[in-house]
Amino acid sequence: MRITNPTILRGYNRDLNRLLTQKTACERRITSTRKFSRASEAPLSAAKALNVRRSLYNSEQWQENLKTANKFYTEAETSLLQVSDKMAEIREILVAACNTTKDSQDYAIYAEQLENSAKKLVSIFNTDSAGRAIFGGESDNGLPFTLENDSSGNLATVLYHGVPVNSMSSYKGFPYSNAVTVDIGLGMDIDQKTQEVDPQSVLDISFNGAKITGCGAEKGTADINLESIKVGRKYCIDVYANSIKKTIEFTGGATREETVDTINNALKAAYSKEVAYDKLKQPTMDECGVIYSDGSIVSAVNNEYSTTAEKLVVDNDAGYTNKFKLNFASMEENKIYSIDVTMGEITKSIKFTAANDADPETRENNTIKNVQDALDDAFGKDVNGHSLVHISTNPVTKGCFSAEGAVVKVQDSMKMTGTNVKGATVYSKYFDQIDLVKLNAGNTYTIKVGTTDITFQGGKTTAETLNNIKAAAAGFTVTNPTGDKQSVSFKTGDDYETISEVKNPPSGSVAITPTKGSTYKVDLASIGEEREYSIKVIYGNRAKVVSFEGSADTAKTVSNIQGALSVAFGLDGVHNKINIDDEGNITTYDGNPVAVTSMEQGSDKDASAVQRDKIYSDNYIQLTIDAARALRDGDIDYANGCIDRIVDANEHLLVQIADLGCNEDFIDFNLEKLTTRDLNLMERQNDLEVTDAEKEITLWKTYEALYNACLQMSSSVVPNSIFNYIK
Amino acid sequence: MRPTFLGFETQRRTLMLAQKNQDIVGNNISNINTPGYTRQRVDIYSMYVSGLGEPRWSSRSNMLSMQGQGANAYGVSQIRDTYIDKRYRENVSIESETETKINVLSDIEDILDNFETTGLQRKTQDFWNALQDYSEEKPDSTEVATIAANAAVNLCRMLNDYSSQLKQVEDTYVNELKDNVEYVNKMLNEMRELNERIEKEKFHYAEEYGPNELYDEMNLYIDELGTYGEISVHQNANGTYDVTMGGVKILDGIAQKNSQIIMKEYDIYGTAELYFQNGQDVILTRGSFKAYQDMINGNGVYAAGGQNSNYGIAYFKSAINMFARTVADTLNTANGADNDSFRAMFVSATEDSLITAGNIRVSDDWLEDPTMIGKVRYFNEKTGLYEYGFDEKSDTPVTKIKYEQAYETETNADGSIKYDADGLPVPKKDANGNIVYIPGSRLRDKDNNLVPVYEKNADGSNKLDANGKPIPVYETVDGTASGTVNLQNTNVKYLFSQFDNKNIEFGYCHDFTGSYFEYISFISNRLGQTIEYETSRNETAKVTVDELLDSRDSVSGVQMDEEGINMLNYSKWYNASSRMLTTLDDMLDKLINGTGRVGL
Repeated sequence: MRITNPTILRGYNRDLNRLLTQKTACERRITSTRKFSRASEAPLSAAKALNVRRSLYNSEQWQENLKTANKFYTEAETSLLQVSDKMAEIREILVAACNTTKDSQDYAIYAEQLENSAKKLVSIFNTDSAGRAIFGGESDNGLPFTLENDSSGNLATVLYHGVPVNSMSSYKGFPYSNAVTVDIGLGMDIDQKTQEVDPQSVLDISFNGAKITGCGAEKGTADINLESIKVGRKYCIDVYANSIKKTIEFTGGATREETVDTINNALKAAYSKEVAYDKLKQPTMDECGVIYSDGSIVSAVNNEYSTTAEKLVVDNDAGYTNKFKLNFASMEENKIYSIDVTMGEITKSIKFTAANDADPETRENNTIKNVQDALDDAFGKDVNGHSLVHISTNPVTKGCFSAEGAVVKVQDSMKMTGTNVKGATVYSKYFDQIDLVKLNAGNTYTIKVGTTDITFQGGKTTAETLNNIKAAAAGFTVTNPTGDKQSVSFKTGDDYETISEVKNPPSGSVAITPTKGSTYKVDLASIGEEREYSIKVIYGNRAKVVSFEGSADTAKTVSNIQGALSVAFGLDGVHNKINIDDEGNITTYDGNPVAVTSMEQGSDKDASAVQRDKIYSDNYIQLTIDAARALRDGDIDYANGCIDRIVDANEHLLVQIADLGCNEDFIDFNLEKLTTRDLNLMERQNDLEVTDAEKEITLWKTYEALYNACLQMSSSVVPNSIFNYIK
Repeated sequence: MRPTFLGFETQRRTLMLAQKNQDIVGNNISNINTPGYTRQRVDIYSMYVSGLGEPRWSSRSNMLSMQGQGANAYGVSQIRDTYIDKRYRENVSIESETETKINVLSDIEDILDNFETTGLQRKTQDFWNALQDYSEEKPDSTEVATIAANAAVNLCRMLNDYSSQLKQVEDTYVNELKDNVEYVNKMLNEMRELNERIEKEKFHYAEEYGPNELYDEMNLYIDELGTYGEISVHQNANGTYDVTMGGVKILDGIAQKNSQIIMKEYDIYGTAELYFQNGQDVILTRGSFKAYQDMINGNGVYAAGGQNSNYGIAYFKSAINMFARTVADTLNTANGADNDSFRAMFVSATEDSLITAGNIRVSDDWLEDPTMIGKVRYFNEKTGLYEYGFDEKSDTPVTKIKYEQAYETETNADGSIKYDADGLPVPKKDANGNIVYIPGSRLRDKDNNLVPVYEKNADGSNKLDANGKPIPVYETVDGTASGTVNLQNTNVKYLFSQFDNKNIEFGYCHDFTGSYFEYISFISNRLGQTIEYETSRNETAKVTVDELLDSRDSVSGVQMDEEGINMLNYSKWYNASSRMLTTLDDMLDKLINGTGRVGL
């Protein structure tokens, strides 16, 4: 090979240039801290680096998401711990309330406390975190929990997103029950067709209030106030039966029957499919406006979306309610029972006979018929001939009382009514009592105390009666412990004796004598002081039982009777329709005939003829409210029953708090996992992208040395030739 | 009989030869740094004078008298290895081709960079992050929704920018190619002119000799032409050169034909296409012309018409377009734009054209209502269509007043609608006396109010309520957006889940199936790998070219020592020859002046 000068020079140049290129590239890697600045410099590393970057970006976002979720979980946990404290408080109040006998005022105070606790619970569950109601499920629209009052202003119903909590036993049926989720890098799986997210693949950051506070009850019914429905108007209500929500619409009918039919048809149309497939009993409305479905909870609310439809009054009777029903099981055949029925502001005492029949259904139906008759007598009917106070004959709501547009309360009569009392009411949990007020003057009564029969006569005053009893009850210490006129107790030695039987003496009656024409006269002389009397006044097609209190002063008695008559029959313009004069003559203002009879008085038993719908809600806020209402009504048994349930609910709550804790652990775990992964990824990114400084600097030093050496060589690159030596 | 002055003649020639050799040594040394210079040498031979003629002065018996006539030279030749030239030109064409390709691809890579600057990956990622943030909020949270929309705007802008920058790169290289074509054409003209000179000069030379310097010049041209494409070279007897490129003789001695390369009007054809003057396409397997065509027309799987399947500017333009179109199409579809064009998130800036990186933009519908994507799709069983609203569960029926359906109306002479006494339009009846209803349209009265349907009595009159007002008929329609907003921002989740869908097909030619990010990575990889491939080709070619240059130098280059030795040699030769003359002179002197003068 001939080595020529151009060869040497070109080679030198090329190599020098290559060294400079490498040296510069090396410098660039050091100054830019990057192994490569273009993918082409290291395609494989670049491809990997892009993946690593993506993973890092994702991880960053998921950590943010987890932090957001953590905030919600922490707040939820804090809230639930508060709730747990509050529930312990509720339990204490209930225990204190149920422990000893209190008077109604004390119960009212306890009830008030419970209601306050319920309100606090609701406010906790309406907690707002950064503009989001934590326990509102997927809704952020206002407050998830609301409380509804009954007509007397007491708390009655807890609603979650406008739906009574008792109405469904599945929390998923409530509005806004879908989960709000965040992607935390578990590989979010979203259906491409339905857009549904697989809950396993994301983190739920919503809390369903209905799930946490509980929902549903054993059963329940919904009351539609038929009286509030106007003819020809549109109504739209949401009915929840067995957790199936249907919106039904109907137009108010011309008559109540028409409306009931319309609603039933609408219900049938709405639920026919579900009835066929889900074995749901068809929800039906009875003639009282009660919607029921056998064995399941029914509730109804006005449809909030309906803008054009009228609102109507809907009451839900799931849980502890004001709904009273006849206690068929406790009734003895052919016995006469007396109950006090309050419709709105008006309280009436009615009597009825428990029917006698071998077939229990017929027996019950006949009893109901008797009660309805008595109710109609007492409260009358409206212009359309409908009873103002109903007692239901429907299989599910059988024996339930209801009234149009008013709250009905029913209880066993506390006072003997009428002028012909055959027995004394005996009631008390702690000691036996004879209601002195209910005893008539001159009548003879026999009571059985322990095994001893004691016969005594009613006195003109309660004090006189008490003295009569004391005189008759030899061997007993007769006391009037509470000082009121209703409690008399019999004590032998240290033991109180039970009054086990009341034997009824022969009956007498208040002297009502027909006077001339169609007027009747009340024998004012026969009326004793501080006694309750009832007379039946039949006027036109209305028969009413008018109750009044007797007084020693006949003018006062007359005034009482007049007051009661006015309440029962009302005014005709400015005049009372039915009047009584100073002598006891009962006349009508319009001159139409009136018939007055004295009331037959049945035997009262210690067994209660009335029972409440005692349904315990699965929601503890509702339960608290129900307990408050029970205390107000003096129903200590029910309140007692609430204690255990509150304790159970609290235990359940603790499980939920533990659940939240688990989720927080899960979040922490994921955060930690992502942080660790980040570290690994960053390490990988370093490996892939960041200059290995030691290596590069060493390399650079080498290049620099080589380059300098190369430059040093430059003076001798062009070699000496023979010309340097020839002369 | 030997001629008396034979020796003088021989030495005269020798002196001349020595001097000429010295001249060529000088010429070689002078041209040691001249590009394209090929070392020369004097072709010397030993003189022989034939006795076959009529040498009146020669001995018949033998050739003795004519022997020893010294040396002579045929001419000055070049030392060149045509095989090395051929190989050199092959490899230099590859070197030049790959260099051009690397230039183009590097320019593209500078634009599509994901590493040093904020690239497509980051912008796409930002968009994903913004959607994630939005998905955690209520769908009606306008602020976060706006951030998401802005992230999309930024992504679009980057794509627009990519598109215009790629267009600039394309323009740059199209112009470069035009310049190169012009340059080559000029060069071919010069080469032809050179051929003419060579022919004229060659006339004065012996057959195997010619104008060496002109040959060197021609070879320089040929070497340069070799960088543009594969060529083959042939030298004619008259000294001129023929050059064939891509099977077409573009230099044919002094003939003026096919000597031009023509480029099709790029603006018209959209591809860079070259053809020879004879109409034949320029189809090359190497060289920078091929590089330009590959890079400008290379459209990978999308190649059509004059394009080829290389990964050139056209391909990366297509790839970016495909990215823009696919992202837009998949997200639009996910957002329900297939059924309702108002749901489109991305649109083309130019109407009725496919979305490309150049024209992609965020739709006005989205910009005006950033929460548009937060509205949820649900299936309305009544209409059989998917509809949209914030409230996912909007199946709550709404009771509304039912309105009368519109019908065709009678008109007055002036074309206005004729109204009856109640202010209702008078219906126009068809041949059968029936009212012609207009489906999907509601009737309006004189005051342009909608007319409710009223409940009727049996006699057809309106049923009146207690206040004497007609009772409207109500109808229940399936609820649409009820105004309440759920937190569950499912549609946005659905949208960002599209980013992880690994089954998206990019392009209509099965170029790539995967996710958005995988595609970005894919483009980056393809570009990087193409550059890497061309770089390695370039390096190989370079090394070979260097080796061949060395080999060529080894044959044709001037070697200083060699020339020095020759110089000394020729100098001594000259001295010896001069000395010979002195000796010959002495000999003649003896003969002429010393002979026959014995005793003088």
